[in-house]
Amino acid sequence: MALPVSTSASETFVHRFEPGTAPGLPPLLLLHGTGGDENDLLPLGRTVAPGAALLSPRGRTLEAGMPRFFRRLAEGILDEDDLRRRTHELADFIEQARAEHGLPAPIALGFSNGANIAAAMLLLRPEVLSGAVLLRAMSPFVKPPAATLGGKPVLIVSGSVDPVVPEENAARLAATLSGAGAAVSHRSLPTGHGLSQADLRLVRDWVAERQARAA
Amino acid sequence: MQINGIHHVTAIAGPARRNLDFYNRVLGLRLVKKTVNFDDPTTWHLYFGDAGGSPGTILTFFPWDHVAAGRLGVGETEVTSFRIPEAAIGYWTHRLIASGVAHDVPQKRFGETVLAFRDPDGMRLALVAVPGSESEPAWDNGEVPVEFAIRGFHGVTLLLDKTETTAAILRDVFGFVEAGRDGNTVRMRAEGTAHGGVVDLRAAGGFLPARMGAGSVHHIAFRAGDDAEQARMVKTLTETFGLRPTEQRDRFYFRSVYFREPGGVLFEIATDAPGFAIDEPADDLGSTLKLPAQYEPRRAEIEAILPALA
Repeated sequence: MALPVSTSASETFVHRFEPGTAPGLPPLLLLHGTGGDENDLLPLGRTVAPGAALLSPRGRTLEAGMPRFFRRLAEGILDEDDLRRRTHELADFIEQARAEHGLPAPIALGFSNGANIAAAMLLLRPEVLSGAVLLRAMSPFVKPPAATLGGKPVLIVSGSVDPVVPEENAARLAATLSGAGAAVSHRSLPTGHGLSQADLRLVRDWVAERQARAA
Repeated sequence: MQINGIHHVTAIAGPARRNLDFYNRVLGLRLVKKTVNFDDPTTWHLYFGDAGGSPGTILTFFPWDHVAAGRLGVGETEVTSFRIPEAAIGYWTHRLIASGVAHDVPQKRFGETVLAFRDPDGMRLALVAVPGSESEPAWDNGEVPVEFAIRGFHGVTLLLDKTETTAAILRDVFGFVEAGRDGNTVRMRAEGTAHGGVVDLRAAGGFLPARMGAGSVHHIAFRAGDDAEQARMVKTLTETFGLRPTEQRDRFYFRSVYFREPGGVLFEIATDAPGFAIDEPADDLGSTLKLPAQYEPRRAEIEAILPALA
């Protein structure tokens, strides 16, 4: 039996795909946090971007049985070599999925670990994404690679009492992405690492504005 | 003396402004506490009750702007009911019609007249005419005449697969006794308490499980007079029923443990003390936003981000 010469998107990442019902909207790429899976952010995606196609992969590394998108050495200390490798894997998956479903470049919507790999993708493979919403993200690289983001819209939402991501770290991420040419909006909420209703309102408004411009 | 019965009921609502208007203005309950969800200070936690915020009268909500509707099913509170004077059924039927509130025609259940209706999120509520309740104190909100006003909870109806174990927990842990049967419903009653003394257990068999959302009850809290009584209840739950309640959590107005009863409904045991007047005078209950100490330094930030109530 001949081996397939190429793999389809479904063979590389366990994922869920929900086709869009409103044509012309950019799809959302949903990236869960540690211990989540491909089902976690679908309700959030449906709420903040009604009618948009949703692509939601499950992270391929495990930490004590909990799916993640890349390894970390300790809480708040990322394994940058693994992050680079996993970012390219995920970017390849997105390109395959786009080809299979005929999708334009998605807006990433990531929480925590998922937001960190979305930030890494903006820096390593910017052409894959049309924008990103980074919830409780931290700076993925100590020395960020040079990137050209050409005005891509990015919303960063931090928690001002987040015990995982210090405010300084989130501010550094915002500065890195702005320096690379992204149109960054950085908001801070009086919350911890968990998502709040205010996150939902901010993301919904931000996505609606992007969709209005795209329409 | 041990006083049993329901302490409070907590549910999930849609937009906060609509929730406040319905319970405060249409139903005439007092907003007795205005605070935030301690786990998400960008979400309101609104408490409604009688004039003094007494245990057995407290209905609380987490209002979420964009929450999807829940679906009623097994393992959930089906109906939350309030006590009203017998002479008030006609008044409330008119008030619900005038307010555009969907309701059923009054029916007799367990010998009592029941007027069932829905709140704006589809939450199932009922007013139950209870003889003698006209002499109980009521909140005067200037909209609903005191003679017709709600007197606190009558009780709740739980939709369960089977009722036996839940009935045993109500009996052995919370001091309820079986007070009657009507079809597939068992009525459990906490004697010696006016407010929140009724829990109806409705056996629905293998009906669909509930899905939490707007209009869903999140949990039912039962009363414990103090920490020692709560600890005794936890001991019975552990030793007799093999359940594992949570550690005690300080909810500031009461101290709570939680457990999921075998029928699937989330139960809480809440202490009567210290009550809602701990951080504002009884006359001013609900007038200002109250924050737990850890959020007080961020009051301006939190006030700016909470959805407007008026």
